[in-house]
Amino acid sequence: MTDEPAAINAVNISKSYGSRKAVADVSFQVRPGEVFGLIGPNGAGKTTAIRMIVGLIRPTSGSIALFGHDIQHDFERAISPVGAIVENPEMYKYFSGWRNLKHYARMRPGITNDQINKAVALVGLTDRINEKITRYSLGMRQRLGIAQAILHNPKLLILDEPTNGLDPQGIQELRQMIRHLADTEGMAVLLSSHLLHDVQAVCDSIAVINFGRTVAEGSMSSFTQGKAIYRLVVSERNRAISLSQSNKWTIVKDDKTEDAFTAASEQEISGLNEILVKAGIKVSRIEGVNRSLEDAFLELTNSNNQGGIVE
Amino acid sequence: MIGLIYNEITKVVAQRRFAVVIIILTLLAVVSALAARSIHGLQQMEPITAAQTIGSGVTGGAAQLLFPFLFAIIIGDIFAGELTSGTMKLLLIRPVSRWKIWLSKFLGAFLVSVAVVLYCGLCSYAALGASIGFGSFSAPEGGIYNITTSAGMITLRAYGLEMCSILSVISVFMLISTVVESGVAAVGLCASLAVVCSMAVPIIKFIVTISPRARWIEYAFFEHWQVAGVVNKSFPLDSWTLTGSLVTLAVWTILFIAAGVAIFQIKDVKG
Repeated sequence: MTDEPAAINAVNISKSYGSRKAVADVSFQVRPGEVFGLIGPNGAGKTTAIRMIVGLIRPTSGSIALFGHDIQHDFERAISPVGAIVENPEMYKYFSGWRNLKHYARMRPGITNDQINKAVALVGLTDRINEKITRYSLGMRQRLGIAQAILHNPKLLILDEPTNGLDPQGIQELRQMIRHLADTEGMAVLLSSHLLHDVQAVCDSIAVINFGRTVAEGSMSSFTQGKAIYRLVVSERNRAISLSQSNKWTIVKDDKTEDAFTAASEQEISGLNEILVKAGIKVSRIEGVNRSLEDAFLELTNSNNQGGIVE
Repeated sequence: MIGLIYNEITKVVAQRRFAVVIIILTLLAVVSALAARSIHGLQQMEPITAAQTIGSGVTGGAAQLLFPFLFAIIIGDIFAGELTSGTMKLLLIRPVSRWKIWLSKFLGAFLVSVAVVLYCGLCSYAALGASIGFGSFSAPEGGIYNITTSAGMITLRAYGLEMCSILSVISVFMLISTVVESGVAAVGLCASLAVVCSMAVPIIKFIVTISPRARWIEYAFFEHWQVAGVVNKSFPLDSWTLTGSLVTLAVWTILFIAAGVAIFQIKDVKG
């Protein structure tokens, strides 16, 4: 165990807008050198949580400390080792990429042109850095956003949907860069993304947020191992799904086109098969499925959505 | 702090509308110089030089409407525009406290506004000089206000007082821009305020004339935006002393700055 304070220590943070709770009692910890994924459906409260972490909005209750410094009461020291992208990295359109980075460099002491060049090279924008932002594609703006976040070699990198607009090669490079920064520089990374495949590829731990609450939190392996998952091809899909749900099976995926569905449970599949057959439903195929983060995510968010099914 | 102010100045100056405002001011200077030449020719007046008239360029309508209107266009969205475009998020996640960011924007806007007024003065001087003669700043102001102080002294005092007026105008606009979430709405509100205030001055003067009990209205912040007019006796609040006017401006300016900083300090940045 080390005495080094957590890169992020969010304790019971909540944010209300009138009577609506955007985030309710969310808690999680990100340790130095750890890549932590924050995942959840649209509107789940991920961005609101990130905005609270970087001090853009004030929590209604709860506390957030970055490397032991409270973000509200000791803002400058708390935010000093942090680099971040919050939603789309909007830049000054009337400036070139380089002038945008110089602008942000002036807000921190000691950032040299060499450091800026290094960040630009790392995101692969060296050839286009002197062009105006209006000529940049969404992917290039995203890369520039990452460059402004890593200008000062932060100890904590917060990336909210960083793969928006990136092409597959860019996504691959970003993944490698995140792992490289965490493994070799010891940088902690908080990553929020819709692309669960990418989160699974780079994150050590994750928290799942739904309806503003933490639904689950743990190491990546705790999500991808556990309950068995099966794909069933049946004759009466809707009735089979109802029967499965009433027998405590969670529907992970409803595949209407092939009259199939994927279900997860800690119970034996033979029990469900027997129930379906007794109900007169023909089960033409049952196959075991490797559990991915996506399966775990859908299972968690569906079971929290009053048994709703993602189509 | 200097780096922050430099950032704010470059952001204002790099925008296309700043260039448009500069072009408009240049054209205005040329047109007014040509108009001055025509008037001189028609009325066969004593020759008045550019040096003798340049001080009055920051009094009257220029101080009350033209400059505030142009400032509204240039810097009205200095906060709200960054909220609309989303750049405010990246600005506020740096290790710089919010009050410093507010103050750097305020000082950046002030310095740009001062530069605009000085440019306008220089441009007018050059255009008038070419049109009716440059003259000497050591000559008495003479001209339309028949003042015996030297034109140079009048000019310096007028521009000095105009700086106080600019500080007050900018503080109001900064507060509006802090409160409003949309850049376009902030510019619109600031420009409308400039127009409404300029219309209100003669109305308030009339009200006070017929009802001296309503004299308290003269404490309104915009009533003192023409304070530079004191130097050539064109200040509409003729019963006020210069000190009284400056103190009133200062109190309002401090209140607007305090309100702007306080609101910005606790504002949630959602956009």
